[in-house]
Amino acid sequence: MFMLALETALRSIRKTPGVSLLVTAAIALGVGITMPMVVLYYNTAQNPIPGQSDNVYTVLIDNWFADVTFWQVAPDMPPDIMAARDARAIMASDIQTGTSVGYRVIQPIRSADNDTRIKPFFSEVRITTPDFFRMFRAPMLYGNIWDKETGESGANVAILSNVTNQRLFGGGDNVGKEFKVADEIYQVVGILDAWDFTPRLYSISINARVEGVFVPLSDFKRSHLMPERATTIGTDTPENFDQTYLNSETIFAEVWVELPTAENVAAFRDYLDNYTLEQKSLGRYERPVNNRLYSGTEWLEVAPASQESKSLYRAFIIVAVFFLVVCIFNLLSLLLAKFMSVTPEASVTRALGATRTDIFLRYLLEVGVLGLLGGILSLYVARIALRSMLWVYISNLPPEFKEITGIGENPYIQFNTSLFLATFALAIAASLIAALIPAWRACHVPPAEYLKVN
Amino acid sequence: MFRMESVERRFQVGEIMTYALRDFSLSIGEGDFVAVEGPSGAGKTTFLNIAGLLDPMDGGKYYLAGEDVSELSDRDRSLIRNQRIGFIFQGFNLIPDLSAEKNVELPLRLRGMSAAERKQRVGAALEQVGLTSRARHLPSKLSGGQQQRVAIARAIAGSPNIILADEPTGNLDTHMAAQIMEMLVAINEAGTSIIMVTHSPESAQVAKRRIEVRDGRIVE
Repeated sequence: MFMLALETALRSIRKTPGVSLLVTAAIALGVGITMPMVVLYYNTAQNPIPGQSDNVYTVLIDNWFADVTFWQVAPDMPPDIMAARDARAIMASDIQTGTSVGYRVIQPIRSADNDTRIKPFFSEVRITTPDFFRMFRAPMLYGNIWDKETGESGANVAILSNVTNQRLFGGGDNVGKEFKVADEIYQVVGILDAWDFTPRLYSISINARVEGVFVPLSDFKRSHLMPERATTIGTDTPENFDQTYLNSETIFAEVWVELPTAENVAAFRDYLDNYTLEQKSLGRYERPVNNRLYSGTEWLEVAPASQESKSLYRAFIIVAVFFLVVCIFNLLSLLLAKFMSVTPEASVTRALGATRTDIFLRYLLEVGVLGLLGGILSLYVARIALRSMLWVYISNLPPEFKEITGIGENPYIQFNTSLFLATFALAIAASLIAALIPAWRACHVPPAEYLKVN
Repeated sequence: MFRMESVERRFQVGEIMTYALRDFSLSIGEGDFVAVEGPSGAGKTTFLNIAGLLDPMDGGKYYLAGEDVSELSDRDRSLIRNQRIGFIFQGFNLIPDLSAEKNVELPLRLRGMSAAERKQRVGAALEQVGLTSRARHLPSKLSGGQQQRVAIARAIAGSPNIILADEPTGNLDTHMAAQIMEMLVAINEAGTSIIMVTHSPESAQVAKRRIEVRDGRIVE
């Protein structure tokens, strides 16, 4: 029976090529315009390290002013960056199985010997601890992470992203080679493979990509690398790195810990509470104790920066869905005309023994086939729409931002298997929804009406 | 075998109730061949549609092969149409983009019959109407008479209890009409009951029994 319905559906498509083409185009357009919005949202809201994101936790300590809001969108949320002295205290704890403490800077990158053939460029540089790479599943292509002694010694070593490796050295294994970060020579000890880590869980902000260069934290001793995102609390003068960043309430360090068991989590919470209470008794923290420990999964949901970008893309999706609904309404009238044009044949089939359900399902099957074709076409439409959007977006970015992030060369927008399947599912679902009423009406036409006149 | 008791079919047009069939009772035995005559608008086609379970009725009882089929579900009505009733229409009603054999095969596929049995039955039906050599032709490549013979093959392929024919010779010339009537007589002689609506006295005279319908009633 299925094969008969399929054959009938295919014949009907061949018999009404114009309407079939219009139906397919309407599906492709509706879904093809909607999917890029879903893709952007997905790239903002997806979990970049499923399986690991429930083991890593970001640590938030509230040392912010009592009478000022840190986040406009989440007034009760502590800052997502903390003071170096607090970060050091957490690094000293042995409850967690890994600690990632770091911050981001933007610095000029150039060749070690000022080779004029390599154009200097600005790049984001992450100052971090070695556990960072393991905790966030950074894929190493060449070399290794610096060892503990090298990191603590303050040696100028670095790991490059594949994008920076390409820009500096033209790609390949360049472990051991040297380059400059902010006029200091650094030696390459490792090179990452392509790492589409979106959203950048460990430092969420709109459009953030993984950094181009990673160097050791070395106990916050890299005074030539000033944090890009830091907020000074108090009256410290920014000229003095030690005073401003290390012995003050200035917040700039992003702290993540690895806590693989519930016992670890409970113990770490106790530790954090005890630590902040102790610090409060010593005269720190204007606000009540407001420690937060969010797993990666939770952080994706509650991070204020994530909320902002997700809200933006949700708004895009709503607009796109309205467009899809308009397409579905157009489909509905097209399908009604299409089904009515084949009603005489359906009436004959009914007379010969087909039930209303058979006819209804055969109409749905026909639209399902067109939905599948529309889904294939919508992949192309979505690709064109997404590229166009990215092109408009990237071409309007400030040149220095493009240079720093390398976004122009590698926009890192994923269109993976899930999104691929979602496109087909949406195309078929949209077409079936549009087909329900026309199919219902068409299969309820009394067959006798058409048998006599034909 | 076939019995209608006080069947009624009415239509509301504005405030006026029109009766297409009224107190319509008819009984037909196994192997009968009944010609239904009457002027246009008398209710012949309405009767045939109700007999073929294509239209609902508004009152009365209808028994087919001993079973009350007056108030069956759509699924059960479809099943009866498929297994017990064969249709022949004035306009042939063949699927234009299916070959003759595929048209004949259609009700058998709806029945869920195996491919081997379908092939055997389709071959036999086409042979019976003399169209074996045209099995792969599309209806548009066949003459009117040949198309009606394909429709007859489609009606008999499923071995129905009864064939309902609505003006089967209405679109054919005299010579072709005579051929079609010969086939129907042969089918009837083989044991299948036939109810045939017709305007043609020549066609009607081959029937074993003739009834006339006027104003929705039998005036035999």
